[in-house]
Amino acid sequence: MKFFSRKNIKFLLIVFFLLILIFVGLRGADSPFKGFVLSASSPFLKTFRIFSGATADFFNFLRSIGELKDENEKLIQKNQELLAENTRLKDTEKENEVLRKEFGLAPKNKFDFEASFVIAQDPQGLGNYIIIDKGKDKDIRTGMSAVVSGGILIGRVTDVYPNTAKVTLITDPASAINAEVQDSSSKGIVNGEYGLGVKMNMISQAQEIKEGDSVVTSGLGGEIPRGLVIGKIGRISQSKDKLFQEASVLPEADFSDLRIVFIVKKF
Amino acid sequence: MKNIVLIIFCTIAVFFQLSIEGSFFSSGRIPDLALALAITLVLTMGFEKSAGWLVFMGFLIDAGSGTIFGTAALAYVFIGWSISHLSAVADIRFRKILFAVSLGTITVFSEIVKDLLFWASFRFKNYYLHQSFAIHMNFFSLDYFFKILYTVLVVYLIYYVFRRSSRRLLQEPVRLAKRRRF
Repeated sequence: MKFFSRKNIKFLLIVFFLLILIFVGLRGADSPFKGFVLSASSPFLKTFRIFSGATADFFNFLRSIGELKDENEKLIQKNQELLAENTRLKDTEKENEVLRKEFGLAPKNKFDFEASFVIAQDPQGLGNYIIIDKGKDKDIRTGMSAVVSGGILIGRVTDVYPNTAKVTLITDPASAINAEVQDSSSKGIVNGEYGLGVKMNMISQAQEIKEGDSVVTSGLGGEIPRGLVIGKIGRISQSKDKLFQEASVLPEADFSDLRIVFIVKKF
Repeated sequence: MKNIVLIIFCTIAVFFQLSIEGSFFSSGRIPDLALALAITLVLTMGFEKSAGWLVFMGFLIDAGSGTIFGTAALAYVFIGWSISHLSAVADIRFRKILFAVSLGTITVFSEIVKDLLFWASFRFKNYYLHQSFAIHMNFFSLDYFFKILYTVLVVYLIYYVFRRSSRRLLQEPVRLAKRRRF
């Protein structure tokens, strides 16, 4: 077999061309092309996603028929708990309004949301991200938070194209969110892990945290609004150098079934 | 006609992988439809004829994923070129079971090589951009096992469908098609 056969030369030429492309892409020069391809394919991806979602729902429904009774009982119990919590929160809201008046604070602004469809998601399983069908055309910008119903944080916008955008999920290893444990106000940083795991690091040893505590965004840094729900504290452990506590976080959002997300444009 | 059919095949495979599969498979277990088609194209058309399609499919995957542009194309071309050197596979194409085993083995190795290339590309990107987070590839997890298993099954399915339809749609007899086929 000749080394300089036509096949090998063709292979080497393609590899050379692709390596140049990769080096150029590293500098971000690939963004316009990615944007163009995503813009062109966005309507198809959206249609496919909606259709597949409906089909998956149907199969899930068939599979879950047997579990409906148990699910129903759990939901009734959860509903009662939420009713009690709601009553308590209404009291707190009233108290909050009174205190705001007393201290002369302006009413808290509501978030300005942009609802968008998820049209694609990470096919490799290495990074965790989704592609949404809104981009520069709707004034979406890098760094904005993405939430699902109820103010549950799922990630942040990391790339914006003309009419699509990439949202890196909080489960991605590149994601770092300033967070706090609601019950003890312990501050830390929430990072993603391989798969769909999330971990809270850099929690001071002086702070007391326990399993089941709620983790919310702390608002530090000013890019992400304060109080967005991330999840609940799971297993608590010590960092390798024993300087901090760390804990696994059980996310509130179901990342495997994201259909519609809301981008927080203003807060 | 042939080119249009191949464009449709490649585009649908990528769209399925990016948009549809996520609704049915949990993250980390999504079968690699594009890789399955890449393997099929190389086995049926040869590397030289399929190289352009591998690059095209790789570009589509790169556009819709977080990888550096060109990574997927490079992975598919490298895998395609490697497979084309396994002439033994072509020789046993007509021994059904042996060919099925070989096809499965090729797919397993291709998937691992592709993921290693992706992982290396992420590491390189992190190094280049001075980012400190680590990308872990767990090749010994249940998720990875299922991802490979599903991909192998998808390769069998796509190979079968492609061989069946290629003679009709591509209007070009597939090499050696008159003999017994898998």
